[in-house]
Amino acid sequence: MNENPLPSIIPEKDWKKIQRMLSKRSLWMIHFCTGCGAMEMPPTMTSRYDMERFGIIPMATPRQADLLLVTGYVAVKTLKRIVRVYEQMQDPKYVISFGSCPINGGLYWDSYNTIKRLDKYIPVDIYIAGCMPRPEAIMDGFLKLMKDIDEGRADGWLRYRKYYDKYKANQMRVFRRWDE
Amino acid sequence: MEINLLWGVFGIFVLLPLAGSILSYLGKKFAIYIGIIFALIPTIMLYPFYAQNISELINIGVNINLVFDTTTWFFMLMIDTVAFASFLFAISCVKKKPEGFASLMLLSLAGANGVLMSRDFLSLYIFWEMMSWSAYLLILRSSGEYARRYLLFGILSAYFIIMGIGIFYYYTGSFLFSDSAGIPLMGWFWILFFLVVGFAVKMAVVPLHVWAPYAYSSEPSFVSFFSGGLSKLGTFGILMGMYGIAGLSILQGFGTFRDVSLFGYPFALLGAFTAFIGTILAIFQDDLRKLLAYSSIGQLGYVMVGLGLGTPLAVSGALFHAFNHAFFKSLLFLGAGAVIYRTGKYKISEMGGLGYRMPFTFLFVLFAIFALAGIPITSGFISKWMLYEAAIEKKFVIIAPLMLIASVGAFLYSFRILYGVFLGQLDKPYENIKEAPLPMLVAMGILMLPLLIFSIFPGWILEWIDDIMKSTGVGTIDYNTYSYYSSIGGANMLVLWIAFMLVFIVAMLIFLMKKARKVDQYDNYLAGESPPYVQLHAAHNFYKPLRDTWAPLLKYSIDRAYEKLSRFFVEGFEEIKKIYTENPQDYAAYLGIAFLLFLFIGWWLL
Amino acid sequence: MIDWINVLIQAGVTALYLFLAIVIGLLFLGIGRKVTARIHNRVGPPVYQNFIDVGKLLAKKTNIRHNWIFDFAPLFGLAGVLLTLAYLPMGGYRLLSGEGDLILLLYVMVIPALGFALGAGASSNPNAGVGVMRALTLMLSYEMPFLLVLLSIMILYNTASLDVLLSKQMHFAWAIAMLPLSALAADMALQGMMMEKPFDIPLAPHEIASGPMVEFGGKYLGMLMLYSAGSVIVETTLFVDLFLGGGVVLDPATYGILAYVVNYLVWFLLIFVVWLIALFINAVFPRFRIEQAFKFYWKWPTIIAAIGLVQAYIMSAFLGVMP
Repeated sequence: MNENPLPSIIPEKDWKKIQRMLSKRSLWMIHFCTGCGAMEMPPTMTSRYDMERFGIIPMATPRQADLLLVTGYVAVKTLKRIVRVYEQMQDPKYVISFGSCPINGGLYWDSYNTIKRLDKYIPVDIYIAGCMPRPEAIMDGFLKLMKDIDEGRADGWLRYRKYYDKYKANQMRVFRRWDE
Repeated sequence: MEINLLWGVFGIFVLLPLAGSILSYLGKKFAIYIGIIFALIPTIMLYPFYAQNISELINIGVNINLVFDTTTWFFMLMIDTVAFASFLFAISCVKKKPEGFASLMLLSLAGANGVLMSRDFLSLYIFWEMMSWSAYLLILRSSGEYARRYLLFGILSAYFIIMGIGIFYYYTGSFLFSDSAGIPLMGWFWILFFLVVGFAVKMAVVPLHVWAPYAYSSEPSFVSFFSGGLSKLGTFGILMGMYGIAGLSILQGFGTFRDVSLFGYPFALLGAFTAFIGTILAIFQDDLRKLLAYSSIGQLGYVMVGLGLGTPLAVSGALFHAFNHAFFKSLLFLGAGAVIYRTGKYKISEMGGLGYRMPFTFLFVLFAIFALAGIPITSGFISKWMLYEAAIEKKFVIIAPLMLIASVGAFLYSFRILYGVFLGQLDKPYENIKEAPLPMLVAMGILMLPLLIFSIFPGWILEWIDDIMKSTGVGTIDYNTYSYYSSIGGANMLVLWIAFMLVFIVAMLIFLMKKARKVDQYDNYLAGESPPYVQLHAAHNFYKPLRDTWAPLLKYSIDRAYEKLSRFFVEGFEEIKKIYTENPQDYAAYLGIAFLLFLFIGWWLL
Repeated sequence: MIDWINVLIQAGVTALYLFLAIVIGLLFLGIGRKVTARIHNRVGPPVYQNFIDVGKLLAKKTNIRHNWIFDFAPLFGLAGVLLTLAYLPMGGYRLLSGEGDLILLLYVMVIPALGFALGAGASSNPNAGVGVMRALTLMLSYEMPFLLVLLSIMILYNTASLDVLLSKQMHFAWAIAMLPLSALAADMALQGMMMEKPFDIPLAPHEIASGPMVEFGGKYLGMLMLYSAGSVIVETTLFVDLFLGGGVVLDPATYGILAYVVNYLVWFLLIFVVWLIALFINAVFPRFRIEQAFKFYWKWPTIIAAIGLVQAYIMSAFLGVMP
């Protein structure tokens, strides 16, 4: 049961400034809670740091979301779910990877069944380093992402379309079958 | 001249189907096609006979009276159209002994038309039995058990009607409806009671409804005629009994409560309870045919409410609702039949996703469900509206909430049909399922048209109903071509349609601004999972939470009460058998007791 | 002969009212988020946040659809809610209402919900099926007290027409003064109708991934958001029209255009108050299970509404109170 192949044409022209402005002020996120990073999300959402003032709210399904948060180490089995969730999101979509594990493996640098670099499999727009990053760092990451979107630099979803075959090849190297 | 016209009408509507019945029996393989022709001729011939008023007394030893007026025409319009559509549907799906099916269907059609034309008890009873027995034989084609249940209640109904007729004859010495002068009020009470209860069996009013879920589970092409067409004869009978024979003045002679006869009020209450109980039971059915059967019971409860209340608005609402019910319920049964024909399954939870493969069937069923639920873009709304307003304007605080909450329940079971059968996930075995055959679609299309047309032009049908109301002397209703009014409100359907079209265009414009990519049904958010080859159709035990809350009440069942009663009788007869002790002395004692008993009774009587 | 200029002016004003209603609805959703945030001791998003959200959703680059039935949800949802708004007197202005029949309104209100349910069912996601089942069960639950309330109002005021009801309330007394118990029951039912906590069972993002909405994204979700904005106005206005005189304080026959403006402002204030009450309840409650909601609605609000019905019946039939 593979996902439907995405069209590979990249329409650049009608990517207008106003849309960027809208999508930066209303980032709906789906947080894929792998590992310990999920623990840092509740303080970011609730009254101390309150990310809703930037229009960032958690959503229940990837169809509604613009922002995918990968919060911790990514096992091979999890990666497949992450890729599925990512492909079910609608363009434009952004990915924030969270903590050191998705950057370079972190604590699990020598584990046999975690991947070391998330960027090889799906395009990541913002990395938030730290083990774990504090809510201040997360808020900072969100603001950075918003700035990037405004300036048109957060183009992970365009990269994913452009190099779709290469991303797929990288993904298929880690999991043998799609449908398990 | 007049008598020739009457015989012409009688020939077209009764004798022609009878002849067709014999011909199609001989027709063997082509039986269904012969049936279509003989059902089509009366349906088309209704057109030139609109607004005729033909009445003739015929003496065949006793006087009988055959009439063709708007009442007859109105009811014939539903029954003949539904019969024609059922025949059309049967082309593709009745394979087993088609000659029996066609000839019995035509026989019951002839019987039904005869009932509608007769204005005297003798011909009414003869045609009634003709219709009733051919229906019995048609149910017998599928299951003996179902047919027995129907037969038991059919006979009960016939007994009640005979009792009513007997009392009528006792007082008047005539079978004619018009010879009703000089019956005392107590006599009227019993005549009307027996007639109404007898006809109410045909309408499956609680607690006389237990045959319906079984009888409506037989062949779909017959059931659509049975539920849509033949059950309207019950409506016709009650209308004739209460308003044609007796009339308002006698009904109000029983005493009135807010201008509503005290005789009619209990029946209206019974109808409201029927609507409620039928709806609640329909919500929990998993068998598609049983669900529709209970829904049919519930919807005819509304008709009963209208007939019981007896205000002009209520009776016209009842007639309109009977008309709508004839079309949308037979459409639903045909849609269910098409689905059953393609899948071979009856359970809602075993289907799913058929709407993507059978789009036209889905659209027809959707429209019928709109009419059933009373969505204002169909004519189903208008009749329900009339019934509600009739109850509310007279301030009936028990009937009105029961009807209203039953109509909310109708949304529940109608969504169950839509979701369980047509939406949701398409199961593997049905991947290559085809659309229903063309005759089936045509049959469904024919039934859909009136629901659409009369939602925009309710005035057309209300004109016919107004004629009926005038001829029965109930009163007049307030309407024009597009709108209709009660004493407390009203609505205009043309404005609604235009407004709906305009806002729909607005929504369409916003919708068409962006294109959408189509994905298959397995590309679904299930927390990143995509379980292969597992049917994820949440239709099994759909209303489980509701069922759990209703469980304490659902354990009381009228079905089981009847079964207990029958067991009681069986055991009782076992006890009675014990008095045959094979001892001559006991017999002698019985003889003596019986002799004394007769003596005392005779003495007391004389 | 139809006066075409009048018809066009009528249509234009109607379109303006509908547009304003949707705008106010989006504003109310934003205010709702702000108020909830303040109750939670947060800052909260700006009140215009929902306009940004809708804009973003409608401007999404890609959208997915499952099949043609899936499109019913946004189309029927938005069209149905606009139609319902057109039948509701907002600030005493009759748009399309004609006779303004309450029962017609009750059934027109079902069109968007049914379209939404169809589209959700067509997404073939089991969560959507479960969500719609919960929504329908909830509907059966809250309709019981709500229908009794409607009935008591129709019996007391002896009309099924919203228009007549508004003028009778303006000249006699608001229904909340006549039938306080019914108003209480109606407000309880309103909480379920708006699917605010504790009755947000059909959506339940943490259990069934926002239920019927699970597969909608992009323009589909954007149009559904417009639909929910419209339905906030529909539900609050229904309560205001039934019990608070629809905000009609000045008679348009006497005061002309001034009356419309004043009535519109009063209506706005009143629906804001009704919306705030719902929000306050929403902000502090957890979620019921669907069985609990059903039992709750068929117990307390129904009893209260039944007492209200008896009161209305006695007042109208025996005491002869004739507003």
